[in-house]
Amino acid sequence: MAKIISVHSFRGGTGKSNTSANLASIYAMEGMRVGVVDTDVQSPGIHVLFNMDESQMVHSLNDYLWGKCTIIDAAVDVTANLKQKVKGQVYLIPSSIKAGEIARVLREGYDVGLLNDGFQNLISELNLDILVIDTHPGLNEETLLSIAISDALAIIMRPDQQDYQGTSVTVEIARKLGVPTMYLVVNKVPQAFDQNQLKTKIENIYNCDVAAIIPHSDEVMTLASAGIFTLVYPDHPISAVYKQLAARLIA
Amino acid sequence: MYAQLIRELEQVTPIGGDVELNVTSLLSFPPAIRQFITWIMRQKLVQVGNVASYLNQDESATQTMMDLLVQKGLVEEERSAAGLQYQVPVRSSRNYRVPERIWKALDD
Repeated sequence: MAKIISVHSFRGGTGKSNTSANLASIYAMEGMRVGVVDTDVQSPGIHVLFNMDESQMVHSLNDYLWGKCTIIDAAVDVTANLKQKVKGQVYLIPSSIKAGEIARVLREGYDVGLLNDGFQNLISELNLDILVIDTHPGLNEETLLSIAISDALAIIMRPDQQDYQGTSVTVEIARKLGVPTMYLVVNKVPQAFDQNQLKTKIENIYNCDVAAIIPHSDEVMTLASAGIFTLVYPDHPISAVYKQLAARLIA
Repeated sequence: MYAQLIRELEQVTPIGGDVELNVTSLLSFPPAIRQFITWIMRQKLVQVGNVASYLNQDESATQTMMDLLVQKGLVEEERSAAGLQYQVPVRSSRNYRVPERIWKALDD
């Protein structure tokens, strides 16, 4: 049975899209069929990591939500864009990057229930093993829906006082909604920090397992979303951390 | 869990008319209902047999509870070739209040 994994953070800029793209690529490398949905309709971005140009984006999630196409029409096979030989397949459902379409979705709203229907259709029609949902930061209806229907939730945070407070909100809500598997991922950790100490501290604060501590890396910064880290640097220690996270989320 | 669900359900105000069930309203439900409804959402569609296994109840008692959930507007029935199925009718539309001149500028 397919698993739905949501990647969320309370604040922006934590590395949600990077984490989502890396997880999807790792699963595809292992031979799985993976769908990635960019539900961040207000500020979409994950398509950049998959080297997707506008010509590939015939339809978007916005079109589906407005009833202009099916969710399958909006799914783009981006496996070839990975530029690596992978055994599985990756389909991306991008959100529109056109200003007018972003404005329209904000103005008119949409039926959030359609998202759930769309996720289920993607899983069945594309025969997916994994569906990764890249969420909008903070809490809104689509984020709550994504959390509610997920089999596993990865909450990304930085070791920053603002993230500490916001993360506790997400953890509390995920607990209220009974998400079966929930892990914290601490990203952009300064090299000077003691990782074990940080892990223990965060686990004690939230009473939740920290599945990954990802140190700040010049290689990640230099790559600057021009590719997917684990594919570009397969032997880097950070890639090993992502692989462990991927394994734990579907264990 | 079953007894707690029934107790909590009896106290829930039915959803209907102009009031829609949305995801945010889930958070205000009592704990057993909240967890049960999100479980159904994760399954997408459930039949009485699935629910009975989940709750460890017989099908007759489970059917009574599903009927109560339908009455309260928390789930809706759907007839299919597979039989009677239930799903959570999350249907909500959300929009933002922004001055018309800003929308117009974005449209132009």
